[in-house]
Amino acid sequence: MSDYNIEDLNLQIEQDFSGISDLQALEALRIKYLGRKGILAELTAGIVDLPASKKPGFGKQINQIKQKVLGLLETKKQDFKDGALKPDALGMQVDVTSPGIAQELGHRHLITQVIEEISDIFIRLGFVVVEGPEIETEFNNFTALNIPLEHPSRDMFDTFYLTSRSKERLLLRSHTSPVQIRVMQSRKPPLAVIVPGKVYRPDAVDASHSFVFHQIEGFMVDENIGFADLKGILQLVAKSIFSDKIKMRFRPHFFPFTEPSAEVDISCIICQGKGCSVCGRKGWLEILGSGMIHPNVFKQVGYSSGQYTGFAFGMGVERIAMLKYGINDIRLFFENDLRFLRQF
Amino acid sequence: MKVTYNWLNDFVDITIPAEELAEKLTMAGLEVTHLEKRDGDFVFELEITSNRPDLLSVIGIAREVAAITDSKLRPLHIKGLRSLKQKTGQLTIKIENKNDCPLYTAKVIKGVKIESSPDWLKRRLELVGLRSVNNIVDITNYVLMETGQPLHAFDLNRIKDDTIFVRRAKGSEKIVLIDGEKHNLTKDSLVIADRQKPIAVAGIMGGRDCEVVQETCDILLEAAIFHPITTRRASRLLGLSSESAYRFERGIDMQAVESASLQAVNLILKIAGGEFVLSKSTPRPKTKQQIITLKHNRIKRILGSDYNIREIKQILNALGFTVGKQSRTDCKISVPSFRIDVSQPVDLVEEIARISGYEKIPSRLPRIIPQDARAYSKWIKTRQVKNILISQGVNEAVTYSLLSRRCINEFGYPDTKLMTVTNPLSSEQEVLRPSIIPGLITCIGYNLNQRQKDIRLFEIGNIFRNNQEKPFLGIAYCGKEPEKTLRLLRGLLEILCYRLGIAKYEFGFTRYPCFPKDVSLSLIVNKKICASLGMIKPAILENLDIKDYLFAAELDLELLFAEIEKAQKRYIPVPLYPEAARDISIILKQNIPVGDVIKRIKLNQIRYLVEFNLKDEYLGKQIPPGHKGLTLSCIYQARDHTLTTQEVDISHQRVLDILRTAFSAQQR
Repeated sequence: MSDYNIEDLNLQIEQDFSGISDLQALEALRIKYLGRKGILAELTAGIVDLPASKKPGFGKQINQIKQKVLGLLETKKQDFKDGALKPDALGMQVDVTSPGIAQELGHRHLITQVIEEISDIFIRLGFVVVEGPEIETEFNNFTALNIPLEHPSRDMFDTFYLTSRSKERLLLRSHTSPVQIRVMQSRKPPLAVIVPGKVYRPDAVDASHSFVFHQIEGFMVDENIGFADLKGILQLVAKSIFSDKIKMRFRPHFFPFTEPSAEVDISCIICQGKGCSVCGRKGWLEILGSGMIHPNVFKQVGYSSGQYTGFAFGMGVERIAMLKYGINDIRLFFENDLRFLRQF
Repeated sequence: MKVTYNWLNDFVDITIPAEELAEKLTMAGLEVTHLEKRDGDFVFELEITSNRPDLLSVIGIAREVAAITDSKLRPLHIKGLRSLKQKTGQLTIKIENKNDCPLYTAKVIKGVKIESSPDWLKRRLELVGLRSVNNIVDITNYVLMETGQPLHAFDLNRIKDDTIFVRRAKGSEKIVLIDGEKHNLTKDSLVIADRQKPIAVAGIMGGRDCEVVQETCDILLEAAIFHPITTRRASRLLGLSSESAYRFERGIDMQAVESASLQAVNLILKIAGGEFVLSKSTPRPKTKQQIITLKHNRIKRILGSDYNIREIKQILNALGFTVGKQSRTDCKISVPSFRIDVSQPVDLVEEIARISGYEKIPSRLPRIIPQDARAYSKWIKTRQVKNILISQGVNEAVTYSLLSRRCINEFGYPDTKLMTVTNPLSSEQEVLRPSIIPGLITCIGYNLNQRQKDIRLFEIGNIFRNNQEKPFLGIAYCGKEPEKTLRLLRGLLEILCYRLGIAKYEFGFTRYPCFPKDVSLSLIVNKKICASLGMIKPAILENLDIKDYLFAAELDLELLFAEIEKAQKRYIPVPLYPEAARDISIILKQNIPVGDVIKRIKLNQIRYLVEFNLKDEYLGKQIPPGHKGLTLSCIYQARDHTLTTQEVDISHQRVLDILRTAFSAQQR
């Protein structure tokens, strides 16, 4: 027995178990300590030679060592099952600060992301997505929307006209609203529709103007749709896009195709309404135009304004994206610099 | 439109500070875009919407102020005036077409003294952005700003024969206006003329010849109505805008012409002296009092909230409407003549909502009824396509859909099929793109200049050809190794088809405007060319100063979407028994297409061969000239048992035999 000092043995066990790398080695250790001719067996056999007074104490110590070995065997076995030990054991050094490696994915353009995000909010509410053509007739773009041909209200909508062989004057739609006309001409209420798309206006290009940009139009028509519904929907949507914390205000405005009409402002997301350079010290940011669909528009599509009411709204996608992501130049969207695209 | 706090105070007692008033005006639809404290007054700059010409005046805005601050409007009190001579004959007014000019009034004041204006008048005009000229001109401008009625003063003694004609200009007529510019007139311009020549462009600007100057002593004061469209056309044609044209285009209150004119006469007599000698007017056109029946339940339907009749009455009265006969369900509302924008019940509903405040309307969520959206599935398919491309590491671009004709021509698209804009801002945005490729290539050029690498872009958008617009997918790759880049691009189209469930497609040679003919492939699905891909012609790249190889593809999404509709994936049982894979390395004559080899092997339906594909293609020292090295991968598998080596050997030998006999392939 005297070959083994109990303390040394304890150290030896710990060393043995910490160094093992697989189940086979673990088994070898089991045999080494607990096997039929193992160390513990040898120690137990030696008890006989001890003086009677030392026998119980020594037996207890042997038993403790046995329990320790059994415990270590069990934990190590579990560790192997969990896979925790293997890589370490294969000699790998883990540097916790070393960055990961990722598969390079492409990026959806930010305009697409914003359109999809906003559309998805509406889809969840039960709206359907409809897209219309970019080439439109004067009727759909203006006349049917209660915009008389030679009226100052047209000044809001400067328009690109197309050379065309057909009799009807064609143009590049200056807003997504003509899709209202297309949908209402072909379908009967109830309608809840969202229209994302490209629009065109002859604006000289600068940091905040572009002759091509994107809009999202939405409208809803049914028997009892009121301004209160417009408010409810837009509040939900604006909070979903920006944050729960924003405040909103509906400001009377004029659009030929809605009455009453409202421009919608949100409290400035940069300064929280205190006034900064982004909101022009006003504390508010205009984000969209909206209103109740004008009875004259219903008349053009053959809906009875005695039976139906509806709301409509339109927002600029680039504007929303610029506000939400702090982009200061609209040209960035169309330059497609990879260093821009890859940020989103 | 600029207006000052003190000027408004002439018409309404304002009980709140300027900042608060600005806030209230904004929330009532008169957006205050700027507020400035100046010379002991506050200048409000307001954005007046085009439907509200009545707000292009101090009185109009004061009326709104009264309504939103619960105050009373003090209307303009005009001293009754009688001209000295009521005789006719001294001045004749001849209107060519009553439609162009429904009302024309003229007042003659003799013996005025032209001086600079008193300080108070100068200051008010300057605060609202008008330059002081002389007392007469300033008074006409002052009354214009106050009442919204444009006025014009002529030097009476320069008008020939005391006759005023309101007529369309003749083709050859010219006029020098008070801005000093000479303008050619056409029959689209309405003019004020004497017997000889035009003396003003009606409603837009006066002529220099009859301008009120230092020496003037007798004046003719014009107050009239000109047709909005006539004014607008002439104003656009001549490229001229003015405070008066701005108002005539939007519409003038017929009822206020006379009072505004008298107000000006009063001020002239007071400030410039003289005698009011003559007042002349064309007959006032008959106007009908507009009465609208407003149903109470309509307010509730449109706004979603209730208003009691007292509130309604108070708002409408404050705005100048008269609430007439009332019943339990509706009331009759008379519209004042200055509110030309109000013609239907909804217009009144807006007034009620606006003045009581939009914030008073509650918000609620509507009940939305499910709709059949099957017809609108293009949106979803487009998203699917985008997601597949993104997963392959391609970045989405959004480029301008209007391009220059030069750019389009360089890419080989002929002029005849292009759609062009008649009023482009510049030649850079003249043509609607007939292809997505030019825009994408330009983008790659931009990124190369920014020293970007691994540029792979795609864009989905409409292209325009032959008067039609169609959704297309464009892809562009930049690469140093041309063969590999082309195969990467082709692989992208293949995986796109595969992931969309389109199993049958093939590639062939084709021609495409911007690809050389031997590096121009087509993707054929269901016998139709669905996509074209190839290398961008070097000449195009040279023009763009691009030195790398560029490859592009363009895909007709309508054709692709039609195939997606048909595609239906079916489950194929997962193999129960293991496969055996063997590779073959051969040397083949270079002119033998790999596709032919693969097709031939597949046609032979070799037992247990489930996959046969090109693994690698190479040229190098070990390969004799005129030949290429190929590695082909074969996978053998049986559905009902594990293959024995012998079974695989037999099949594999057949593959090797065919390669040798049909293609003289040498095994390496």
